[in-house]
This record gives sequence, structure tokens and C-alpha cells, in this order.
Amino acid sequence: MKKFLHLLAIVILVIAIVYGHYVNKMDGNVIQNYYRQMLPSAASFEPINDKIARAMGAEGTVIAYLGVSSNVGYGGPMMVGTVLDPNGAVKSVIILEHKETPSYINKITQAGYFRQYMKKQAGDPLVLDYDLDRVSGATLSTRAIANSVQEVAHAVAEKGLNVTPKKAELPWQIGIKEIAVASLFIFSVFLPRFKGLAKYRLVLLGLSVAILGFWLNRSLSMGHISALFLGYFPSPRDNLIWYLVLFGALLPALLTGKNLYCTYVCPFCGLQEATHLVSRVNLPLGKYRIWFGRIKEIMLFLVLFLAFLFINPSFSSYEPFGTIFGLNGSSYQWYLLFVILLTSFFYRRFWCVAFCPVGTLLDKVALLSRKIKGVIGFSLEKKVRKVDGKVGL
Amino acid sequence: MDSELESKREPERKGKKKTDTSTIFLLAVYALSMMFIILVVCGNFKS
Repeated sequence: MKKFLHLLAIVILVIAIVYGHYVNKMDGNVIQNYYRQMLPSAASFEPINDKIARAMGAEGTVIAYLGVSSNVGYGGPMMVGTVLDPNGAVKSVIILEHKETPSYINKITQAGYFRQYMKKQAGDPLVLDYDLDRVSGATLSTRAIANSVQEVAHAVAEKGLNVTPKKAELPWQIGIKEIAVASLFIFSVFLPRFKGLAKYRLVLLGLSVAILGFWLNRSLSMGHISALFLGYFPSPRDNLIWYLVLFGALLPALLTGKNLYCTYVCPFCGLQEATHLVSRVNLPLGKYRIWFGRIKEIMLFLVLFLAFLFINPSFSSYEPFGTIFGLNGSSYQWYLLFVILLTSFFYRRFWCVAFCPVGTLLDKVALLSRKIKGVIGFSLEKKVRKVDGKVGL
Repeated sequence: MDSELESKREPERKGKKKTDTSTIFLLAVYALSMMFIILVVCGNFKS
């Protein structure tokens, strides 16, 4: 029965992902609607290619160039529209569709991020940290916007204005942040292998709270995992940490059959361990532990199902990681965080035990790995027995 | 929960009276958290 339910859940998720992609397919009419939304005063739009167009006035003159482009932010692809005046100066930048946590978009808008574009010309390079300032705590979203605007502006420069755009060659971003994150995952693999090092688990978790939590705010969330299934991959050249966190958690679970991320790296687990260290109380969960485990599995299924159905990795994400580490969230996210942290003084790792969909998924991956190893081990054993039998004969 | 975490768990305290009070507290905070989770997801859907 349990096997059948698991199989049914996987089939439903596959159907949801196919249906979501089919419903959200973009066509020419959708792009025309975007153009109309960006420049309602234009009489018509003459497409130059599938990305950019000329906006024509009532007298038949070009009143603007405009275009749309999509790049992957934190939660998934962001559709960004850019309007340029007939001389190629950027007039406006509009987020047409996004899958980011709404509070991050508010943060970008309130920080005045879009004002930076108003001084730029179509052929200018638009690289975050070089030509534009990032918004701290929303780096991936601001980078996705910058890349989208640059794609449209450079296409207008080349195809509409016959200007050669200045393109910046970006090196791989490997600095202190990337090295620090990679070190956390390397230690998490080595620590459990040596008995003498096991006592340093809390030290590693403390470092993770500082590095992956408060410094970088890049804990593994369901947004990462849904994005992986939906095929939304940010550029590894400037988003290496995204890959380090995702594969640093998944690969050890697959290869060792143990969920090392939750035990040794998760910064939110580290925070809950800190509350437990303060209180030293761990009340019994009793029979509810099993029920919480079952409900967590249903919650994991629902999170993935909604993300796939709406083609939006962060749509159903409810983890309070960004709220505590990015100090950014809706009022309900803050209430949730307060209740969870307060409860973890009495029930050790209450979030992990009762709600965490990331931990549930990593446990499933580790279990799958152990099962595969068991099957391979069993078939190898069978072969060896057969050979032994033949030798014996 | 993960086997690594399971093995490191400290022994839980026992005692019938304490468990009864703690059960009410546990179910209350669980229900409250679940309510906030639903409200967070509804908030995501609205925006």
C-alpha cells in the first residue's frame, strides 16, 4: 500500500509538471500583451525579432524600442520588460512576471534599484557590481533583472540602432564566499567518518549559522529543489553558491545514504540546536512523532505539486529560513518563525521533526540510495553464491 | 527523521502528568504553526 501511494504521488507530480508547462507556454499574443502593458500609448508594435520590437506612434514614427527577456532569479525565471527611447536611452524597466518571494521584489523596488538604469544607453554593458549596484539580500533577483535588461538593450543596439554593444567578459566568481560554503560541505562529509571529530558537529553548525545563514542567507530551500525539477538553472559563472548548496546536500545523500546536510550543515538546524543548548529540555513527542512524519510527507508532496502546477519554485515554499537569515518576510512568516523558535526550546529541532520539507526530501533521497545499494549488494551476493556453488560442484 | 539525527537524540524525559500538559502544548503549537504555514502559502498565492 505504501509503495503504491509513493508511486501514485510520483505519477501525479509528473502529470502536474507536464500540465504546468503546457498551460504556461508563451506565444506571440502573450508577447504583444506584454508590449501593450509596457507601453499602452503606442499605436502598434513592429517585431524586430522574437525578443524586441519597435513601438510606433499614431503618425507612423518610432516612439520607442522595447523588448522582453527572461533570466533565472532566486525562485525561478523572471520576465523583465525594457523600454528604450528612439535614441537608445533606457526609459523604464518593468518586472512583468516573477516567481520570487514577494518581499524580495518589494525590497528591490524600495531600494530604488530601477533608477540606476535611467542613465544607461543601449550599447552599455550592464553587469551587476561593475556597472550597477546590487540590492543586498536580493542578489540573484537583481542579477537576473540586469541580465534581462542587457539582453534587450544590446539586441536593440545591434538590430535597431546599428550600434555595436560593449560586452563585458565575466570571469568565474570564485572568492571567499564560495570557498567558505564549499568548506562547510567538505567538513560535513569528513566529520562523521572520524569518531574523534563527531564532537565538533555543533561547531560546524555554528559556523554554518554564521556563513550560510546570516552572512550569505543561502540555506537550501524547496525553491532550490523545485527549480532543479523544473529545469531552472541560474548561470554557474556567477551563481556558484546555488550549485554548491544544492549538490552539496543532494550528492552526499545519494552517495553515502545519509542525510548529512540536516545533521551537519543546515543553519536553521544550528539555530534550533542553540535554543536546545540554552534550555536543555527535550519533551517527549510520543506517538505524535510518527504522525508528524506522515504529515511532513504530505506537505512535501503538496509543496512540489503546487510548484510544478504553477511552474513556480517558490510559490508554495513556506520555510522561515529567509525570514531569520535575511531579516525579511511577511508578518505571517515572522509569526511562524517566532512560534517555531520558541517551541524548539522545549522540543529539540521542532521544525525538523514536524515541518521541514527539505529534510523530508533529503531523507527520502538517502533512503532511496540505501535501497539501491541493498539491491546491488543482494544481486552481487547472489552472483558470488552462484559462482561458489559452481566451484563447489 | 534522519538516522544520523536519531542516533544523537538525547533520551526523552518521562512522566505521565508532564506528558499530558506537554501534549496540549505540543498540539497547540503544532496547530498554530500549521495555520501560519497555510497563511504564508496563501500570501504567496495572492501576490
